[in-house]
Amino acid sequence: MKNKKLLFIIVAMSLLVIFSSKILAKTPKYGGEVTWGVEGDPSSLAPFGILMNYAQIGKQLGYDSLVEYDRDFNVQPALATHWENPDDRTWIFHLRKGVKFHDGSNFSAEDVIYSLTHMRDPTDLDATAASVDGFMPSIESFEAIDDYTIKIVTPAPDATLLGWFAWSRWGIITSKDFYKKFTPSKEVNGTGPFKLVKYIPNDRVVYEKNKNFWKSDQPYVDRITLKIIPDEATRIAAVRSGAIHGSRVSSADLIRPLENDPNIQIITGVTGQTRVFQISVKGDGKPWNDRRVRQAMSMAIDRKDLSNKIYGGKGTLTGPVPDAWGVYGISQNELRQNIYLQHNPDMARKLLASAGYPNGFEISIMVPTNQQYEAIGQVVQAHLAKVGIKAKIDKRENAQFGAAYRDGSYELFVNAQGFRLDPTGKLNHWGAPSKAPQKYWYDYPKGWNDEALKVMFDKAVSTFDLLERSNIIKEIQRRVIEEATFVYLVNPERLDILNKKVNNWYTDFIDFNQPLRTIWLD
Amino acid sequence: MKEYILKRLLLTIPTIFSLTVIVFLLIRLLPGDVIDAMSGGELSIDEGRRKMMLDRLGLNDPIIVQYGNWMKDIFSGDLGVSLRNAQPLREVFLNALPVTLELGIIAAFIACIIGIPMGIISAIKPNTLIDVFARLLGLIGLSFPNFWLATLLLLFASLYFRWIPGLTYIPIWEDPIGNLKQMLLPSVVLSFQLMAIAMRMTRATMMEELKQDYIRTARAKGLNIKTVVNRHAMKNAMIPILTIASVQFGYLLSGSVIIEQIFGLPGIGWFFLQGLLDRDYPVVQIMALFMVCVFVFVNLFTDIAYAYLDPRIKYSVN
Repeated sequence: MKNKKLLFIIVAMSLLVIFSSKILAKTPKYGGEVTWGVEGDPSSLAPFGILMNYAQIGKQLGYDSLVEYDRDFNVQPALATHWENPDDRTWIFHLRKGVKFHDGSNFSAEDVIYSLTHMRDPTDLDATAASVDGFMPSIESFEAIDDYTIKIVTPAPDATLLGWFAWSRWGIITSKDFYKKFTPSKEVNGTGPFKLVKYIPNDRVVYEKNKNFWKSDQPYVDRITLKIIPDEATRIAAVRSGAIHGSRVSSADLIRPLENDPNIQIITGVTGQTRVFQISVKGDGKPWNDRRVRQAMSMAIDRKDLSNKIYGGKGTLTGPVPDAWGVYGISQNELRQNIYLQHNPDMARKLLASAGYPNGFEISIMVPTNQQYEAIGQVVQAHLAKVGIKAKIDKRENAQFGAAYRDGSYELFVNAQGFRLDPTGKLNHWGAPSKAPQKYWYDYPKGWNDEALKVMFDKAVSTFDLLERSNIIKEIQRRVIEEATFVYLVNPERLDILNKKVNNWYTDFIDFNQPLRTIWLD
Repeated sequence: MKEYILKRLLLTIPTIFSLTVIVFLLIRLLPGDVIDAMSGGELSIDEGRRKMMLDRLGLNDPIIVQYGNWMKDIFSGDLGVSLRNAQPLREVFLNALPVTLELGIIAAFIACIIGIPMGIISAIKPNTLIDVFARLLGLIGLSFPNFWLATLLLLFASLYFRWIPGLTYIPIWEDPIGNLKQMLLPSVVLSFQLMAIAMRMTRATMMEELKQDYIRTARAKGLNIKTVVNRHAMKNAMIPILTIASVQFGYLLSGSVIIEQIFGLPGIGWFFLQGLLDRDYPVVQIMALFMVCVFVFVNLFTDIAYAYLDPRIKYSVN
């Protein structure tokens, strides 16, 4: 009897220890300093203007917007606690009270008005601040109803507005007169979980915990340093040595030796970074104005081979909107069934012959000078050669690439389309030309045009019902894949390597290291 | 001699001036501008806005006005501002300079204290084990690219010692020990090539010198090999070594893009490359001007050192 009692106590104690350790393991711990490796210099931390992704990675810890995406990609309240639509063009945002900026000033409607004014047109702020044409939703007017209520009116019903703020890339909220009171390129005054300590270009960005953060239980770590390390091998060595806590890597091959490292965890997942061939139409539009040619190119490409050779097999099929994007993406199953995404060189040759190119033709593929994109160009070059399309790889560094993109002096280019505010942001090449970031295709004389698609696009922007909206967006994608207006390649998984002490990291679909805001250390 | 130095110093002025013009024009010949670099292949900017931005940045001004503005910035000492982020370049430059200078000086020091003695020993004892070892090291130093060596060392250190040099730059005046710990590995990697060059050059010239009649005479009158090398051969052998080493030293001082990036050191080379990629003309101009000055003054110093090493050298001042 006594033994039974003892056994019971031992079992009960063991269970308690096991369960409590499980519970404890999930309870975030406070404190500690994190150093994170980032690939490029932010260059500027200014809140508005055409700043590229490293700028957003550099500043996102300090800023918030009206709403935010959670890790499951749902829009959640942030600086706005709730919102309502009295009609389909009007948005009333109720702002959070008691929020303080990092300089101690109170957040109120006048800060939102200041930020909205300048995110829409930042050109009066500094020389390099230009508005982000093609992405920001049209806004007819906005006003403060009182200190904590904002009214925004759009010229037409626009379901993308919440996505714009949740994306926060160019839609963050800063304090009134920020550009007058601070040095925007190297100072931050937001309401975010971390306060900027210093930014040393090409070296590091240091943040410390914002003790007055409006989410009173966050952030967990005391300090985050973003260390700029462009060299991937160095970042991997730094994680392995413990010099940094984690970093993104692009090469699956390089991290294979880390798979059995007891100190390292590898986290992979899909983001919104589709790899795509974008086409430019010049002169008489040939050969790209014939859809059989475009379809032949799409069918000539072996996407599985591309994924295996460049992404270690971690690249999935994709349409314009990645399948992991909530209800908006076409499923992998459906994409696999789509004949235009299947590798079919025989059909590709037939299509080329019927279009009048039995012996193929010569093309030039512009790629950014980056190992990954050059490799995509080379793999695809080999695929196209098998159907008679002789492709020349034209490597351009970033500014050259940007200049060619601007004036249309290219034929085809390989690009990564990052996450955009809303699924319609991934389709805006086919929507209203005023929104299209790339003008040398859509509506270009003798280029490609599809009035029905334009109507569908406008409907997708103005439809609020989720199911109806997702159906329209999927329909547009099916049409774009069939027309092969751009040739979508693969959507590679993001790879992050982390020290095992790091908790609460996840693959962030938006791709700006958002999880840093909520990580904690063992 | 004084007159010569003065004349050489005066000659540096037109040299540097003409190079500023070349740098200024060359960077503007590259396709794309700072706005293209910022917008890349994803964003588009309305033509009217683009023009306004170029106007504000002064990039639509006549080229002579832009050059004049740059000269004004140089002579005022503030060096202008970055087009990309409006950072004052004086601050950027003064932050990057110590990193590069320290890296270059330590690398050159390591290269010289190892390379030159090794070359001498190798020349004195040709075809011995030590000579073979030195030549092998020279071959490795010349043929192995330093980025490969750097990556290999980092991989090795992180894999077997779970250690890599500190990635956050520590200025020498804040923590000299921490700074040296951080700079040693990149400096060693950077020194390899110069070490190999110094070793090979020393060996070759020293062997040549040791065959000369005056060396034979010195040995015949009873001087030991150490004195012969130190007092006679060394000084004569130094001229070609100095010529090659000073040019290489110029390269080290003007920044090593790859080593700086691999070891996360924010030096001149990295800023220069970043500026070039961003089409941030003022950044490129100021970093290039610094590199030009390094080479001009290293060459000047080398010429002056010739006269010290070989009094037979007489300079024409006409």
